[in-house]
Amino acid sequence: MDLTFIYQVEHQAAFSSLIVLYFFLAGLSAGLFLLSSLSTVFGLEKFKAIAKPSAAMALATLIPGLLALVIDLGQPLRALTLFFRVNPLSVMSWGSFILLIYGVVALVYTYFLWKDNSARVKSWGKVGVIFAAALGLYTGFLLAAVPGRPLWNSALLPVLFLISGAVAALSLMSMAQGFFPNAVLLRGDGAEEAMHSLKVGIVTLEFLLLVFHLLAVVFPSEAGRAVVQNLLSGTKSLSFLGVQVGIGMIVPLLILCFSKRSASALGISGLLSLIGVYALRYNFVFGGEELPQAGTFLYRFEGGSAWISTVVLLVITAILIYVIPRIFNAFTGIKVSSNSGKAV
Amino acid sequence: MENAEFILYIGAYPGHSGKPMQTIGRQVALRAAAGKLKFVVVDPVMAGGAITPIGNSGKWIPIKPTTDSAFAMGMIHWMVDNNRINTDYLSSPNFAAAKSKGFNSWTNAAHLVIMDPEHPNYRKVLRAEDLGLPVPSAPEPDPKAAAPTPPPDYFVVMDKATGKPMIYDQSNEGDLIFKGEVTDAGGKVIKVQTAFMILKDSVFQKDLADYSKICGVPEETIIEIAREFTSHGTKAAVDGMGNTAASTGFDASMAQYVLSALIGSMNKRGGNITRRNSYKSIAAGPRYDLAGIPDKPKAAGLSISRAGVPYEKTTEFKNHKAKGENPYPSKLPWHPVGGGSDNQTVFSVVNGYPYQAKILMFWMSNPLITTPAAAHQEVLEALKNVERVPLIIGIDAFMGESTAVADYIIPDTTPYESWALANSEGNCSGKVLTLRWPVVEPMTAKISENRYACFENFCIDIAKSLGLPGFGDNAIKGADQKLYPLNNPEDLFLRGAANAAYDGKPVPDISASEMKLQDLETATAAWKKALNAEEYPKTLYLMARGGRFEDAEGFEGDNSKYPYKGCTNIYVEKMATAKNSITGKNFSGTLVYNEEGFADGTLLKDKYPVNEWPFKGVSYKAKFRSVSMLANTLLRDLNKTNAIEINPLDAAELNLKNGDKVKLIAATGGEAAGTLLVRQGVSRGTVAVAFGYGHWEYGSKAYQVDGKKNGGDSSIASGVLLSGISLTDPTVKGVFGFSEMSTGGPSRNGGAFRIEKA
Amino acid sequence: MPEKNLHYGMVIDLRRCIGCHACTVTCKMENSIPEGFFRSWVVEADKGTYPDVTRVKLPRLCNQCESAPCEHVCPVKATHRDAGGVVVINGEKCIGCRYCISACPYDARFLNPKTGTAEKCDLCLKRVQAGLMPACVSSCVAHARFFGDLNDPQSEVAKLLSENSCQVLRPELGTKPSVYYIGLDEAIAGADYANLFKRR
Ligand SMILES: Nc1nc2c(c(=O)[nH]1)N[C@H]1C(S)=C(S)[C@@H](COP(=O)(O)OP(=O)(O)OC[C@H]3O[C@@H](n4cnc5c(=O)[nH]c(N)nc54)[C@H](O)[C@@H]3O)O[C@H]1N2
Ligand SMILES: Nc1nc2c(c(=O)[nH]1)N[C@H]1C(S)=C(S)[C@@H](COP(=O)(O)OP(=O)(O)OC[C@H]3O[C@@H](n4cnc5c(=O)[nH]c(N)nc54)[C@H](O)[C@@H]3O)O[C@H]1N2
Ligand code: SF4
Ligand code: SF4
Ligand code: SF4
Ligand code: SF4
Ligand SMILES: [Mo]
Repeated sequence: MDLTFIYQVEHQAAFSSLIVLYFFLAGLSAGLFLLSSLSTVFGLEKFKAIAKPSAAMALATLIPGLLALVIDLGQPLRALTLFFRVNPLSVMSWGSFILLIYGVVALVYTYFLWKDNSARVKSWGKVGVIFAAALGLYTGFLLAAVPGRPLWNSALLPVLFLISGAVAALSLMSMAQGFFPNAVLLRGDGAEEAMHSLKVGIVTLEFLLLVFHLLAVVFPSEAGRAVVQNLLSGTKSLSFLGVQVGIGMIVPLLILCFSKRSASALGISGLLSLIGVYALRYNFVFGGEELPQAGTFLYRFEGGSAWISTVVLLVITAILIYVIPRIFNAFTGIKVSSNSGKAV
Repeated sequence: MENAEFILYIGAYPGHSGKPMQTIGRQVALRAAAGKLKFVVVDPVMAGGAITPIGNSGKWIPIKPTTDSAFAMGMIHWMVDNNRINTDYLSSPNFAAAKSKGFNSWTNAAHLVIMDPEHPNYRKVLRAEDLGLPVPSAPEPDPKAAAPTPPPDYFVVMDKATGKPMIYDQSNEGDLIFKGEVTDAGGKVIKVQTAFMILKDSVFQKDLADYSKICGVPEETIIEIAREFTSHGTKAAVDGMGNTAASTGFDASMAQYVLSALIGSMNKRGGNITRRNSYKSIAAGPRYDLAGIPDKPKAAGLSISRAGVPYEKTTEFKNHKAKGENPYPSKLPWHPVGGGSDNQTVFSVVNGYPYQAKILMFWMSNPLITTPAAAHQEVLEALKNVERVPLIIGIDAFMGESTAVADYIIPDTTPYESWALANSEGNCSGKVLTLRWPVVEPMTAKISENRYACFENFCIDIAKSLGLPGFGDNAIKGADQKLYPLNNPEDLFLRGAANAAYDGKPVPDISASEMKLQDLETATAAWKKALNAEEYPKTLYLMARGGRFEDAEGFEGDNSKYPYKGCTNIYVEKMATAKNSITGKNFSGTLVYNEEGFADGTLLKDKYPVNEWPFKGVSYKAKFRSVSMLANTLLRDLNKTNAIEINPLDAAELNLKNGDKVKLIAATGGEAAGTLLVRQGVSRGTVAVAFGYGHWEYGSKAYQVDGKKNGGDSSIASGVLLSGISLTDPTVKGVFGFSEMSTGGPSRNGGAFRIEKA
Repeated sequence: MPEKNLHYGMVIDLRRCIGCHACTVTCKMENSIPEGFFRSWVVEADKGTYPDVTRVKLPRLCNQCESAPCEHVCPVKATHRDAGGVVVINGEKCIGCRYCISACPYDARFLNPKTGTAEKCDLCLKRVQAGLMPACVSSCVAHARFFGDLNDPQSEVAKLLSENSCQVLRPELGTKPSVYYIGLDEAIAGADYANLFKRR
């Protein structure tokens, strides 16, 4: 039946670029923590070299993530009320406690890690793993719990967000390994090999999850078909097919499978995957909100200033990535350094 | 409308526009939803309004612009063929006869018209004098009347009972289908036929199929509508308005009333009724005489608008005649039928014809935008040229486009700051008079205590300084024969309100509690001295209610209490005897379908072939604009701009799609750029553009007042102004908007356009 | 507000609505809504295929869902129930996190840039408690909007519900709206989402 809209008002889309950034950084932080825990908690010695840099970077990405969240609030000064006005039915209410606990645990964990107190590291790490996973899942769950938005309404979404967070973490670490090991005080002693195979596996997993998720969205409803169609051939096709899938998944996988296992191959594929994961967050947040609701279909996304804040926060993230390990060095008096020995 | 069972909207849009839009919308929506009313909207544009997908009370019927009379003639064709016309009514040759048969209006359908080209009164309605029938002696002229009343007409009908010609008001039933000969006193035979037969002949020149092809409405649909229209006795009505603003507009408006005459529904409950029924206010009323000015100077000369004036009465014509020349064509067209026209005034002024306008004054009017084709650059240039128009005064509350070209601007008050007495425009059967009074102190300059700059004070002060009678301290004659002042707007409006309060049965005094509730004591303190102690509480009764509203509906039984008692002309003698001042040819006295054509008779399609210029324009009322006005930011927020709207089938032919940036080009020059809206609700071959967008002033440009910057919001200028490129008439020398020739009505619907990708 | 069982709601008669948007404008004026935002609005679309074309007019506002996602997701319980089950936002508590805005499947909410808090239709509760009708109901040109207590069988709204075929928007979501439309199914029957999306 032909329907042409004649009068229609534009609606404000709830979440825009700062929330995308927050989801990205939170997932990244959780992933980094898990990466760090591979050796400290799960005893996978292959990953020992990246335990400390990962932990430090988990904090370095968490802080700007939280900032993004608070800046995005209409009433930023009321942020702390989240902790004494609780709604057990609200995922966001849960999330604020997850963030709080995760942040504290990650801080303590990293402190003991720097101190090389492996017993404490392990016990705090165990708690941290639970909360990191919770954090990774939570950002997806936040969206999944919202009714009426087919792109979000799937139990697979939290898992997809967690796994893509892990991909991002691994990618950032690969980039660091390839391009700036000194900045993050990384010792290049053998973790590349392990990271390489882990990454191939995990990106493949992410890809499969994405496919399953979209299939789960497409089948049940017409609205679902419409959002997926928007990703495949609509306004989000470039950022979805081109960036998220193409640049973010296929190309890195090809590089990893067909190039020599070099640090730079790992680095480049890392950069591309990182962009891909960012695109994923963008496509899901923006694309999910563009669906025609009950008779509405024009959305206005908060523009300019939010994007500027995003860029500023990304710069802050980079600075923190450099500064935080050095703060731990200074604070604990223990000098962790990269193998070229250039420590602070 | 509150009683109709079927309404044919043809060129008026219920629930979208119309006067008053809200009343019409409500009445149609409520009755249609309740299943009491069926209606069709025969319109090139589907604008929503009362049309809904729910139920089947209302339906949109797309039609080609400017072809309404063809559609109506198709209906009439079927109605005559199937005996679906009200012959009882039509054969009643006068009001009393019609009344006696249960009707409440009458027509000249049975009157005889002289068809003999040789006869000196050819094309006129046959009068008793033509036959030498004895006529009653003329009534004594009323000594009090301002102008002498013309002698009455004694039209003639073929009386059904006697089979003889008879003066129309003596016969109870005329022979409706008479076509033949009558003999005058001298024994001369005169060929005559009834007005109805002239109509019938005109209609039957073509077949239903022809009419259907012309207007683009399928034959079955025309029949279906005609059947429905004639299935409700006198509880059916026809409404149109915007469609008449076309070069074929006279025929379109005639089509409407002829249709409703054919079923006899005029002045009946559920039929077409009179509008603007009101109480006496600014008139010779029961308290004050606000119509006449003692010692009023006589207006002299000719209206500059060339409208309502037959060319044959002008000196130009007489001079030609005197010199033995063919007086046709006149320099610019003269429009003999109807009254003055502000649209034509614009073209008279810019062409300096028939004479130069020395002072041009705009008030509550923005002709550069609202007169089709007046936004052409030549018009603007002419107005700016001081040799053409030495002085322009704009009296405006906003920086309107026309006001912006003025030499002087008099700031005027807005509705919250000003007075008005107005009638309802229609769709209510009873009497209505609204009274608006200032609820805030005007923001315009304060002249003195209680006096503010506004149109009324400007007029009063100018008149006083010219020493004109009717203004100042001894200006208004009261019923007590004393003279009262006119120094301020309230002097006029409150006295007008007092007239209304006392019209017929006077209204009661305002109650004390009502007085207190609205604190009228304080609110009206400044104006108290304009009225006497007796009038004051009655006038406040009106002020408290915003006017005077008749309690009862305006019907007695099935008849309107305020019927139009004059003759409804199935044959319009005035048209039939008037001439197009360019061609010298007579207009038609009966309903015809004329294709759109220029002043000299050239058909539009001959000059601008349809395959090159496939679209006719429709400039319909915008939903969120009051004609051209948009001061309200809230309404602007709802719909910031308009679009160039066409049918998907036309779009496909042109390879255009929804949202394309396109150029709309007019055949006689001018183009406008806009966004294409492709939608199903536009008829084929039509380009629809909502009116009121595409401003170039009105705050879109910045201007300085007392050194302070005002306006400068360029978003105000958004959208397309179709009138800006409305057709001009290439067959007339000078800038002349494409117009209907008999009345001078401007063409804002129709024309020839094409669309290209921008 | 002593009555415990009050359940305020609205019935909108789509057969009557003429798409005049008076409700939109009144609501904006009554509640001082900033430019670009709406508590109430009307969607209009041409429906059908030439020459059989009609116009859908769908006046929209918060549905006052009995099971309201916006209420569930609010992390600080700023969104809560007031008299008559009306879902309202406490402007003192709201942190402006926008979660409710994304959670509302009816696009009824927005973040007011002036207050930094979420906002939506509150059925003009203040007017109602002062004995008036909601502003949009008072000003509805075609008398298409009705307000009242859905639980009171004598109320106009309850009668309309029992006498007419009424539907709510997106019933499949289980939100249980308190805003009902007469003729909604007939009005939007046949509209498909994918098509909407393409036409943007
Ligand atoms: N193309 C096209 N042309 C049309 C029409 C159409 O549908 N399409 N419609 C036609 C019709 S039906 C009409 S009635 C005419 C109307 O034609 P106009 O009467 O010329 O136009 P309006 O937009 O009603 O307003 C005229 C001007 O009045 C001024 N004004 C507004 N409020 C006030 C006030 O309070 N005081 C004073 N002093 N001035 C004020 C504003 O400057 C405004 O521009 O337009 C006709 N022209
Ligand atoms: N929303 C709104 N309402 C208004 C106004 C407004 O500006 N905006 N202005 C008020 C005023 S001043 C007036 S005079 C009235 C006018 O009220 P209307 O006469 O109802 O409005 P218009 O848009 O001028 O024309 C009516 C319809 O005629 C159609 N039409 C155009 N050409 C043709 C044709 O050749 N044949 C047929 N059958 N139809 C045709 C148009 O598409 C339009 O839908 O509205 C009043 N009400
Ligand atoms: S319509 Fe939206 S805002 Fe209103 S109650 Fe339902 S979920 Fe909440
Ligand atoms: S924006 Fe305000 S009302 Fe909405 S969920 Fe957040 S805190 Fe609650
Ligand atoms: S009830 Fe009040 S707040 Fe709600 S839409 Fe109507 S006017 Fe706006
Ligand atoms: S005010 Fe009434 S008629 Fe007008 S759009 Fe709103 S609901 Fe429809
Ligand atoms: Mo008008």
